[in-house]
Amino acid sequence: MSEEAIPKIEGHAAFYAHLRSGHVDKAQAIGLENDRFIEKILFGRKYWEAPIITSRICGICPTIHNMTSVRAIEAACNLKPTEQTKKLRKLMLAGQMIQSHSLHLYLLVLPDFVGASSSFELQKSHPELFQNAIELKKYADQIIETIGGRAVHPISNVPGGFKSYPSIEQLKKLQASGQKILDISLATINLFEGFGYPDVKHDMIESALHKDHEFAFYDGEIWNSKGTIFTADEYTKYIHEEIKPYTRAKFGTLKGKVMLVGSLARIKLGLTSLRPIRDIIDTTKLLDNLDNPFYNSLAQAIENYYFAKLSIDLVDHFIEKGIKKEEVQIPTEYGIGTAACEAPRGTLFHHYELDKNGYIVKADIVTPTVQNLPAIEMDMKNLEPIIGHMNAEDRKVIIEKLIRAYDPCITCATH
Amino acid sequence: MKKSVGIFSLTSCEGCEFEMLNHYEKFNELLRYFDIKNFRLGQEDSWPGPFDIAIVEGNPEGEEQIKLIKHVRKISGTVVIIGACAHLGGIQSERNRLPRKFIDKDPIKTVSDYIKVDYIIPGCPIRHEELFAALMDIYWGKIFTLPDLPVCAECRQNENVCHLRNHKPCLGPITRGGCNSICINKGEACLGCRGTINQPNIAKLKEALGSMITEDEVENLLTFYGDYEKEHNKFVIK
Repeated sequence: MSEEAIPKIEGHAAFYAHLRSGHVDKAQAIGLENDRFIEKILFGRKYWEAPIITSRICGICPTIHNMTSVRAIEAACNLKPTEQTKKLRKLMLAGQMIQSHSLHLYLLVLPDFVGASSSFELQKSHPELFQNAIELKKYADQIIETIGGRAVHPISNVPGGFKSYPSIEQLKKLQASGQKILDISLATINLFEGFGYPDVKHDMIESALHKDHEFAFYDGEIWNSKGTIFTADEYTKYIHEEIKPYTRAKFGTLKGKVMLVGSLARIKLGLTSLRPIRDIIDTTKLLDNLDNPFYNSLAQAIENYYFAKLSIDLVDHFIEKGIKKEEVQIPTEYGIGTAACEAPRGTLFHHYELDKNGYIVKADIVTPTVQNLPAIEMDMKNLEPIIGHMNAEDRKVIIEKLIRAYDPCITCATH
Repeated sequence: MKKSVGIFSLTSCEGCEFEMLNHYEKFNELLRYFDIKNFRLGQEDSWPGPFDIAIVEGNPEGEEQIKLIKHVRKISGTVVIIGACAHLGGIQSERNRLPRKFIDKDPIKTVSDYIKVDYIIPGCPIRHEELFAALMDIYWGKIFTLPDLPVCAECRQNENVCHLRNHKPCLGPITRGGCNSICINKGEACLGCRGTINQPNIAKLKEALGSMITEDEVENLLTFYGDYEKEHNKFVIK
């Protein structure tokens, strides 16, 4: 029904939902971004160019592309990052999660729930809430800038380590904001717990990174709610990408079946590893609604709190232990490598094949939104009982709300 | 009196738009002087124009975007393009150097291939300070100019160890400064994202680079965010 670009999502997309006597018989999520052929233009580029170029796939989640690319190149060159490097990277990713989730929650989703048409209006109608968003984003941007050199398109994180390190003064600035950020993150959970969400239930295979005894997001194997578990290298056996005629973004499935990635999937699958914040989760109704796509927003608020806590712990650790200026490891061999990381929106895969001189001859990137597009279409159909009796304008509003809840990143999905 | 602004995004990662929003307190101060009437990322309403100022991000690809950019020129007093995609083509322009059979699409073009551009805020991403300063200059009717110094000028002031002197590649000498040599400050080399200075000595730099890396690698560097060699006369800003 609507063919104009949906506002307040990342990238250009429209939807088409055909309602026939109260029954949604056709639902399409139409990506409108142009294909930039990122995988193809990497051909003939040197290994070190991949993280810099792929960072530009997306302006809201450049850090995770840079990170996954770096890890995949390291896999291809058989480089093993040091423990310090891994910890610094986890801190960067905590920042990426807070940055992306807080922008999505406050600026893209919240306006719908408080009757504002935009984040600018929200600023006038709910200045305290708006201020929360600003504080969270500022803190997150500061983390990525401190560790990675720049918030949009980080610089220091490269295959083999870090090219520059933060000073103790910069870390202390982060430490000073810690408690306030934790308080705001808790308030964010209460805020999104307090909203009424449409009652929708879906049945999909949730998929996320897994590591024993850890809430995995930096590395690990991939597992799903059907019990299958596979390593990043095996991704092509399980994740299928399909081209559809009406959209430039590909559609990802788990061997043909509809899958779900992102906060809801991560929390559902990783609940035991979230024991440290289980008391917080239990103050909400999330666990009774893990099959409701609208609850992705609440799930993101809970993850936001988790990563705020993690960032505080990591900053404290680096201030106490100090940071050693380690040399970047230079590759001496070049081969094939794949890496999977949890982006804010779900599992991200980067795969590279290098020739013997370190030039890229093949690249493949599977983004989380690609894996969620079939789920979005299926959930548009699941809305049927609610939207069947609504008028066209109300239907458009609720379908847009659904798509927004998924937090799709269309520029990533198309790359 | 506030000036009306429309923000348009073509083909890009939208990172420059996020760079604007990232420093929200400063962006907020701008809202005392400017009325953002069109911004798909941030708001529901979009206004058909006319606009005092149009901010354009991304490069135009496909009929719809080309139509849009020509229309934006018609309905806007001043057109400011932001970011390497709009200015030079961006990383997606790397496909221009590959043989046609590889990616069967027309070469990437820039915004100024289709319309007259009044101001350019370069970089990948831009520096929000530069854009906000330009917007305030436009508001007060002043002419905004970008510096015509290479990145080396700032890099030296920042007391960085010079990559080229260490026999490592860097495009600092031909690249327009104004970024405070941020990449070199963080240990990386300059990759030319702000485009070249008005009279870059590309031949000399190629010679120097040729003694450090292969010809393929030199070509890669000179086509990172746009084709610096082929298009450098486009970057002359009066």
